[in-house]
Amino acid sequence: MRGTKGPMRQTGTRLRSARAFAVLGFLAIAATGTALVVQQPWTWCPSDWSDAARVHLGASGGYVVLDGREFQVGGNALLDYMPRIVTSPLDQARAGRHPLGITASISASSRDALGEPAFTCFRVTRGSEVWARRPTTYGTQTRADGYPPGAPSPIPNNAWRLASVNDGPEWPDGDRIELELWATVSGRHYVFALPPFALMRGG
Amino acid sequence: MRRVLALILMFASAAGCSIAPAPQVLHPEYRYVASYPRGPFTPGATVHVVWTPELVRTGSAEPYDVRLCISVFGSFESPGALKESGSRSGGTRPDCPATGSVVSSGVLRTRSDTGNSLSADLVLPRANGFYDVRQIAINGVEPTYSAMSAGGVIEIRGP
Repeated sequence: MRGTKGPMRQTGTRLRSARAFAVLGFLAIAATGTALVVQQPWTWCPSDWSDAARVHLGASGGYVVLDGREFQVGGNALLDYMPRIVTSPLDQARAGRHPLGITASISASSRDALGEPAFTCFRVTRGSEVWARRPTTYGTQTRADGYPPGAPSPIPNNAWRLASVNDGPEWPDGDRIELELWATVSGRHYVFALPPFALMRGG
Repeated sequence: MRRVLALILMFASAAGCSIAPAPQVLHPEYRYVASYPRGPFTPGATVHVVWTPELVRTGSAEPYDVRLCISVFGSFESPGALKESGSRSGGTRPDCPATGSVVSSGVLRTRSDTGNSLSADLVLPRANGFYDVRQIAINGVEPTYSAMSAGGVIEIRGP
């Protein structure tokens, strides 16, 4: 009997160790998953943008010349007052919320002139409060995209990219805010600073 | 042991000093808005244009160079013809001095943090008609800057 107890004990110990590792592994995955869901690192702005050139826009949008190349850049922030159809308690909860949404665009005279710009951060300030998120930059669109197949391309065939982020803070309308748009254009970093404006309802 | 503790304390205090935030320098940022008399405008008259500073914000961003000018485009038979021409020529970047204008002020140079008024005399065109008066501001310097323009319509009519 002694001869069989030894291997059985070893097997039991191995099983316990395996269980412990499995539990630890599960906890590690759960902790990582929770951290990812809560922190959402893919929405973080770049940690260092200090090498960016700062471009002061005279209005919510306008012409900019970036290293000698011409673009138009614009941005806006609105509180989400979009009417919603309420069919469930979840919809009811959402309908009562009016989070800040930010959109921006960059355009140029052609797809080639536009290149592959990307907005990397929208940073909005209200007094001492700052809210910053990495927006989604959508693919390039051109004026010709809306033309029927075979139709001659418009001249100039302007090209643009849009970017947006939603679910911002629920600040009161009428409050004065400042908006910065961080972007990479032709491989270089820029901060487009819009003049302060009053927060309005949109929808 | 005391020596080690003293050394640790010295390093800690030195590190504390080295990461102390530098005092933030705040700069006012102004935009300059042009204004001129409401008229009536007569051919060849001299109009006094004043750019008044408006405080945009005060912040840590570095001040930047500003170029200002006012330019007159035309003439047009009617305000409708002027607007139609504007929509056709839309998409051209404003510049100082403006290209294609019939008369223009010189280029006035200032800084975003100066906050002083500027002025210039603009001699109006001699032909009757409607004109597009555009005030243009260039923020920053070559090769990276922003440009904006705001327009108004005037009628020049001789006696």
